[in-house]
Amino acid sequence: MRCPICGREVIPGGNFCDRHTVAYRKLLEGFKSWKKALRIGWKEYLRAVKENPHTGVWVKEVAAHLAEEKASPLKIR
Amino acid sequence: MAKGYTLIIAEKFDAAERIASALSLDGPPVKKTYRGIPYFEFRRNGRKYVVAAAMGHLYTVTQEKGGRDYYPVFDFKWAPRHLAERGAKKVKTVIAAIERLGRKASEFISATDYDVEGSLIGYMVLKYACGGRESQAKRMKFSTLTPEELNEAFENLMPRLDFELAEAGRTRHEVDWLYGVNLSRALMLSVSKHTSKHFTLSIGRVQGPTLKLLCEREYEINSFVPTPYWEIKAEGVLGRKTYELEFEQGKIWSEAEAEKVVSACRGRKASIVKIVEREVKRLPLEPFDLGALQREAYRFFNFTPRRTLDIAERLYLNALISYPRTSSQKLPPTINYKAILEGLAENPAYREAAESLLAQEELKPRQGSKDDPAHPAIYPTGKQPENPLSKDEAKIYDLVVRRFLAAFGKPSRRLTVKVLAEVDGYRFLLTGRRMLEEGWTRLYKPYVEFEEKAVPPLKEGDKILLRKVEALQKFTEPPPRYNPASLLKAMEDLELGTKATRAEIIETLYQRGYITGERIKVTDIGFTVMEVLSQYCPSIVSVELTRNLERQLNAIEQRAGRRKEVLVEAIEELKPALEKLKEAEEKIGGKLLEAIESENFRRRLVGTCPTCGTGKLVILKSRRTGKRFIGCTNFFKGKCKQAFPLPQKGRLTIVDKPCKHCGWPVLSLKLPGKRPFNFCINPECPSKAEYVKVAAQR
Repeated sequence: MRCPICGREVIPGGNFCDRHTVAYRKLLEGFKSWKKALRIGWKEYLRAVKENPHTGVWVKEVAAHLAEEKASPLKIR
Repeated sequence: MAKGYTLIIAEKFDAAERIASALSLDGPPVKKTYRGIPYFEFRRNGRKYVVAAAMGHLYTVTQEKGGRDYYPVFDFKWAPRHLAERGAKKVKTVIAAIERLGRKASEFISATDYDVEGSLIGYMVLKYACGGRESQAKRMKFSTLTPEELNEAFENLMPRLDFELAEAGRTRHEVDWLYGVNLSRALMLSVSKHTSKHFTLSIGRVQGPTLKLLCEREYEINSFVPTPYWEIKAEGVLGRKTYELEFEQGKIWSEAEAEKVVSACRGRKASIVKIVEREVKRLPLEPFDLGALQREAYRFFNFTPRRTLDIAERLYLNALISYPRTSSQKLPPTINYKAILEGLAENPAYREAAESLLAQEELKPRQGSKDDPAHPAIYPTGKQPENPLSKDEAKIYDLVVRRFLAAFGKPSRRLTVKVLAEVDGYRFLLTGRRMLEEGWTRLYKPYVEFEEKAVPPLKEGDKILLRKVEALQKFTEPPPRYNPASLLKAMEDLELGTKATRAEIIETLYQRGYITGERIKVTDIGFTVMEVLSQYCPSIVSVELTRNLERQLNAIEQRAGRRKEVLVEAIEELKPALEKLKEAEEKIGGKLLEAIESENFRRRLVGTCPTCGTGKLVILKSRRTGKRFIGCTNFFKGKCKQAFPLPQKGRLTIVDKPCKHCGWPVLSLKLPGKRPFNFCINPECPSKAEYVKVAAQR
């Protein structure tokens, strides 16, 4: 299976390649701090992270992919 | 004394000339040539001496037999460089010249640089070019090329070569060859399974862990999620003056909490509850070892470590500074502080500083903790330049001189004041700092800065009105990218490579296309090479393994280790790793080729097509004319015909930032021997109109 974001090989049992899996995990972890800091929802969080200049490239790509897919964080493995 | 003459082997031509000039007592030395290779003859106390230069390493490790299309290869030999490397033709003539001079010599002296590489150069020349004279040769040990030190070294010759250093150097070259040849072939041959095109890929014993270090940082940056936080800033008023105060607690991680602080403090009067005054004494900076000089030169002049080393070596060969490849931070009294300072005082730029130090009762420099048994820290010799220095040389020379002067300075004294103001349980800080005594910082200017901040005349119990209190939203930032200087420091801290090789390893990573930019970014190829090695042979890229090997090599220098043991261990480590790489050759080759192609495309990708908005502008080559141009990828779909002409000569790179006039992509053109020239690809760009106007006016 290929990573839907970059076309590289997906990690066993995952949805993304190794790079985007790490980024996805960080994105989920980050949501906890953002919720506490700003009391925002998932979609708003994705948008804010995507637009932030400090966000890593891979995280931005995952955020854009998830926003496009309209996926909530729980539906993704 | 034996009949015939004494042959002195120097490392480089410039050093040979200085040695001959310094040691020649009976008139100036005579410069002669053999097939275009210069050497010097002179007489000293009636005896004839000949000084020949080695031109760096003349011998190298190479494969015992067989071609380049297989691995593993564990059989190697030492051979003249021209037989093993392309582009080393001159080496053949240099060896022939030394062979000829060696035949008639009855005594031999190695006067190469006194370190691992220099000792190895001398050893190999005496062993191979001089017909096995290494055991009878003597050794000159010096740290500067000044006549005084060269004469002293000549009068106090070491009775034998420094075999331990040479053995350590020899082992290092052999281990590096084993790693480099085998791993690089494993990568390249795996790619050649998929394509007939040739791609140069390489990885080495130190290159691997260094690339790993960079990849780990890149992972952190690329997968970084910023976290919001707030900083509270307050503007306090006391009398007619206003002061900036900071919230003592620092970052606040929730907006609600930050707003609570703001509403509790805004417009309130804070009481000064504590004033802390502290005098801070700072000792002078340690004298320069090579790493510190390279870092400081990057900081102030933006010189890469390699460039700094090259310049420092030129200054050393001109007898202006001591040997730069040192890890020592110590200045021993034997270098004669007074004589150096007196020499520096002859230069108007350093006169005042040098004379002020000479007037001191005692000359005692700051000594750092690092030591090097072969050389002291880098210091100026005090000699005046014989020829004008280039701009770059002058910069490095000035840095070395001022650092040396500063080492003798008194500690600097600063006063820092912290004022603590409290309102409703919330505490704010007001800080100030003032220089009490400049000390060594006066001598190190302009390479040290101190910003004074007025200390308010406050006392405990005073009330300060917090007129303005605001919460500023900020975000955490990813760790900074390495630059060549910070990477060098990281390598030093992790004991990766040696002081002499680190800068070169960084350059190789750039040349292979594994990394790019001044703020280092790992490319797709770099990532894939690292992922492959981490997956199939993680130990090869482990920092631990490289550090252990480095320690074993150092042990040989101290006579505590053996070459054979180190080589056996290296082969044992390599064997299973290479087997794994071979098993997965097909898969690895596919991955690498994919990365190479994607990187090649990225390098040609100029940006989004401004005409159709969906296609990508790419640098292409016309099949018909062979000329390069920029074309839109939608051309192949028949949707867009946008194209731009390009200069046909020079190296083109795509600049990260768009044109400031029109926002279109910008390319950089580098012609040989010229500075890079940036140009916007838009033919209608206003920047070009300006250019045309200026040209017309001219």
